[in-house]
Amino acid sequence: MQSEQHPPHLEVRKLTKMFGALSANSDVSFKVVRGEILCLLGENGAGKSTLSSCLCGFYQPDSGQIFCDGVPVLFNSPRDAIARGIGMVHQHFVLVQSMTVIENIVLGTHDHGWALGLDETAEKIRNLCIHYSISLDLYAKVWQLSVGEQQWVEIVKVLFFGAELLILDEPTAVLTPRESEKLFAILRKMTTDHLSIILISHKLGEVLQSDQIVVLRKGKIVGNVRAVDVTESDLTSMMVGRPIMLRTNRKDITPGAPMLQVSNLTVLSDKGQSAVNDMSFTVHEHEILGIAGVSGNGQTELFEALVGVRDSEAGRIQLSGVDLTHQGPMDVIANGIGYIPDDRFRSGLVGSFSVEENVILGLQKREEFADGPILNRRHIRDFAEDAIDRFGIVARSVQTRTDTLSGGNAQKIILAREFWSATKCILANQPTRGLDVGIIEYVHQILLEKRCEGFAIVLASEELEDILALSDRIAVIFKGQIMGVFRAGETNIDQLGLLMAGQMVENVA
Amino acid sequence: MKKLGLFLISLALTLTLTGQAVKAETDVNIAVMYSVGLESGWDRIVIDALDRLQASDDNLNITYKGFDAVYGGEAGAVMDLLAQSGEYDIILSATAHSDQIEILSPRYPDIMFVSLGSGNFNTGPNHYLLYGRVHEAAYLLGMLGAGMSESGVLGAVGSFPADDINDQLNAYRAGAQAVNSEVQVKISFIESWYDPQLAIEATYAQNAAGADIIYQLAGEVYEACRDKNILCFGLFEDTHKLAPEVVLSGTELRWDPAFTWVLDEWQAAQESGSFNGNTEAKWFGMAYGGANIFPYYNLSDRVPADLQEKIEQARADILSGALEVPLVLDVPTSD
Amino acid sequence: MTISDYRIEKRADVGMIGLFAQALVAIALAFIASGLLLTVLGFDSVAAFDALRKGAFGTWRNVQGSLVHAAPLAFTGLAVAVAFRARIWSIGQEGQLFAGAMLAYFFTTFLNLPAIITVPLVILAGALGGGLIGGLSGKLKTRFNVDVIVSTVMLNYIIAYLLSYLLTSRIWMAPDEYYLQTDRIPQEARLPNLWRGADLHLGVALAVLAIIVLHVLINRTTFGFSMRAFGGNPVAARFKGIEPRRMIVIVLTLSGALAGLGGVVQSFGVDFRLSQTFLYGYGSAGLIVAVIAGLRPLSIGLVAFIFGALAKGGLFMQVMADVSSAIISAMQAIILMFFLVTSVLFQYRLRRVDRDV
Repeated sequence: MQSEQHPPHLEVRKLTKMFGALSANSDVSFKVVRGEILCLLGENGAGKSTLSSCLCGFYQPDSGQIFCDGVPVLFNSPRDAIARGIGMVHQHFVLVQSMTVIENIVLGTHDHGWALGLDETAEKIRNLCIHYSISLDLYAKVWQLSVGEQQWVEIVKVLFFGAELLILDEPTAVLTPRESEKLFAILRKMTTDHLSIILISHKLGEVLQSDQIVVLRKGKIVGNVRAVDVTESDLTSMMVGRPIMLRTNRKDITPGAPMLQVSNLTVLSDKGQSAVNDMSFTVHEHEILGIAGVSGNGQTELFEALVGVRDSEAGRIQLSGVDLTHQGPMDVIANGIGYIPDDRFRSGLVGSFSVEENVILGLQKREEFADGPILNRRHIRDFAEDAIDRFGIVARSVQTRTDTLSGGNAQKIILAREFWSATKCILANQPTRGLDVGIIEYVHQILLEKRCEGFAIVLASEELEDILALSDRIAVIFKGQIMGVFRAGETNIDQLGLLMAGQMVENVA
Repeated sequence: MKKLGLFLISLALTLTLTGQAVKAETDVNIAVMYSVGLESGWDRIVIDALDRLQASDDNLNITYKGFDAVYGGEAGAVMDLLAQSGEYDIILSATAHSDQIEILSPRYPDIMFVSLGSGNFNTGPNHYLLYGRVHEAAYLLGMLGAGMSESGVLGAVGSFPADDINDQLNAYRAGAQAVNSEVQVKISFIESWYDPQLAIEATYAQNAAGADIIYQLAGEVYEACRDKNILCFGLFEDTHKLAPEVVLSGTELRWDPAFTWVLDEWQAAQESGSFNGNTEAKWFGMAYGGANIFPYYNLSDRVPADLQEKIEQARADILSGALEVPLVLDVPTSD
Repeated sequence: MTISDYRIEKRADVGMIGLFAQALVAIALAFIASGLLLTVLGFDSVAAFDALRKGAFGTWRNVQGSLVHAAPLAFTGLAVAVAFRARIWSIGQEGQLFAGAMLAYFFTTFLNLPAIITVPLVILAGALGGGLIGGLSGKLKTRFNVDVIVSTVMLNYIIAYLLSYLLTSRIWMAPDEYYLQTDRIPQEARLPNLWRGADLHLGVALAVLAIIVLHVLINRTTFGFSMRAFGGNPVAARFKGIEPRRMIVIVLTLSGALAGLGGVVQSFGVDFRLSQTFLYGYGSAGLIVAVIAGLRPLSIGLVAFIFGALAKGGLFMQVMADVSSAIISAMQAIILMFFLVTSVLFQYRLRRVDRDV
């Protein structure tokens, strides 16, 4: 495939990166052929992020070499990498929210930046957008954009910097299925323009759309295959080290008494518009209610109202007969509701806290963790150590800072905490967003276990497969209203997809 | 923290000050705590007096050193260190430090503390209080002003209505009235110990109200006098050179007799072993050489001869005791 | 062939030992720099530093003096730490210190009770005065969304002018007083000395107590936990039941109360009068102390003591070595500067990297 006279676009030879005694990458070697998409696949903590950070100059490898077009390179900073045409789109965007798209793109272009003049720059960016059919309002402020749109800004920014090799970290995590399709079409167009892509992903469907797949486990390469030669299950076994059943067997349990009752609920968004509009639904014991919908259709406001951080305008919220309308988070938690947020580092965890502190966040006054006003450090530590064991949290100790952990491990801290404190109801908003297969399977299993124990569970997800696999009933949300509620098995992805796009369907369960 | 504390205590024990060299009883070393610093006339006249005594006193070998103006707890700490150093026999404060001396005087019974001016109170036998009264000189200035004024209106710009300002203003008016019973005296207080800008404004205001000779008690503020070409009087030290064309004279405060008395007290205490501090502030008037008025210099020919004579006579009467300028401390009102 | 080269990289965590080493390096460098400054200015720097050492630690009395100087700094430092740990940027310590001293003084103007009752009342009044002003900033934030930095700075001025007014209008100044200061604080309201003949007064003991209490409060209590959670991530804290409005008001009240106690300690333990000049500067000095101490109460105690010793030793240096007191302010600034520089440097380390060629 690769002609002898053309060295690979990027080659990594025996790259090793240590953090203290922990090796994040050891002896990693692979090649990226120009004009191809290479996918880095692996579970959380497998070393994908560290590897890509080394490639874009954010970290310096302890040993090993990187070649760009056959020339050895040494990146001391991301700027060195950009100079070599390597650009990274991070999972957590680094955009200035109060600035416009174009300002964000120009920001950081020290070489030509402002001197070029915004109009000329805008012209250049607009041409890029037209070429790749990306629709982006250059003069919108970043905070006005959806997460998906913000990702386009990051991608255009990297292209504008002249990157020829793009590293994308979990790009579809924030996209709807349709947006993801579009992204792949654009990536393909880039490869025909002789750009190369390194894609970090765990979604097997996407992974198989790439050309070359490098599977990492515990910092080492465990597989380097052409996409055409493998199947999804080959990849999962490689990645996890054992075969995996994603289609979990859901036991048939008859739902019990009504647990969470929401009636005629109206909630306003930050901008004062009604984000949840006269919404009513009931979730019973032993029942999972799936909420399907493209993000931004009121899910966030609904969950915030349910957990008590956003006051409702009208309507009632009841939990097994107890009125929780207008109650604050303290009362909601005390009544046995657990919440798994979509944006864990924003609304679920304190980054500067240790694992043991986050695992009791909000529970610090419980008698299990405090003697009166004084924290019981012994009990907290025991609890945290137990949580690390039970949930398989990978952390050096209970005192490790949480913001040094991977997304999956961070999510496990929240699971450990919420499943301990919740006694009646679990609210899970995109609980598997940005996580990889091993963890997703785990989250699904544990939600089903809780269902068996009698919990009422509200699960919102953009992954229709998840919703279909787990839910007893599925409600489709669009512009703050429920478009329809279906029993699982009485609907399919196509029907849900139509409703998510706002089309009314007659048969409502 | 605990270890550090122990370390510090042991350090303190090993470092206790070593014994001082044996000193002759005729050596006296004085620490002067300034009120503002040497830019202030009040502090300068203290140093001037010490310099004169240093040169003239054959009996004692006087040395001194001045220290930056500090107040409150910090002044207490500085005086404590000065006392602790063992180098100083007398700590002389040019301002109101009695709050702090109250703590230090019993702690250092062998050191003499001296406080100058208002705002002080006695804190023990080794604390001496001195006042600088120049009301007699102010009386003479009042005569001079009233004799020279064409408008019959005199002015005086004071700092605060403190009793060592009031005494001068009352005497100034009394002297003026002795020459011209119709005279008016405008008095303003700027309510600050040092604020040249306010003092200048007050001077302009008094001039606008008709005053053509103004007594400057709130600092050497002669710009307004120059600007309006009016004669002015200075306070405490000879400021003639600052503005020779407008400074006619001024009250002179000479600490010499007061300091001589204090040094005598100190020497006596060296012999008797006990101090005998005063509770009522002591002052030394004109008859003792503690106060005077400054010469007219080049402006002398503008002062009518008979007026000069009148003033000389009054001065002689004060010195002889024939004329006693009353010490009135009430807050004066402006005419 | 293997080539070794060195690379600078960021450390994951500096750690407690790192911080301690950093402080030592900063202070050592600051002394070297100040020594150079003294030499350039024509002073004998060895003699000057010897005087500094003697002044600060030379005798037990001087050590006490250093501690007395440190006490108000410890309080304002703690006040800064409480607010900043919750990421609430209050710089109102100066005004709160004034307010504490002023409210306490206000009580002494009409209370006529024995010391055993008056002293505790005065201390409470100090905490109350500072706390009210701090709480006011909190209320302004939560009720009207007034930026905390803005409101605290404004209140600093307002309180200082209020004292100025109370003095110049002679409400708090005796008719025969001509220095801008209140009457003397009556004996029964003064903080007593810890033992007969001691210079250490009750305020120093209070400072030590406050340091310990704050250490426990921040690190070991449920409230401290909530406060740190709020500082670390107010959004997540809110989701977990920590009400931000309440937290802002409580934290600013507590911070203000500590600063107010600093005012009482200085006015009722040392000066025995209130005056703008006596109380000026403890707020900004407390800020420096807290920042250098990394907002940790125990470290604040140590840093406040170092600054107290510098102040006390500096006076001695001024007295004995004729060095201007301005040099001491310069030295404090130099220490802060080196501390900031080293805190950046200590985040990196030099690593040897072997590469095959």
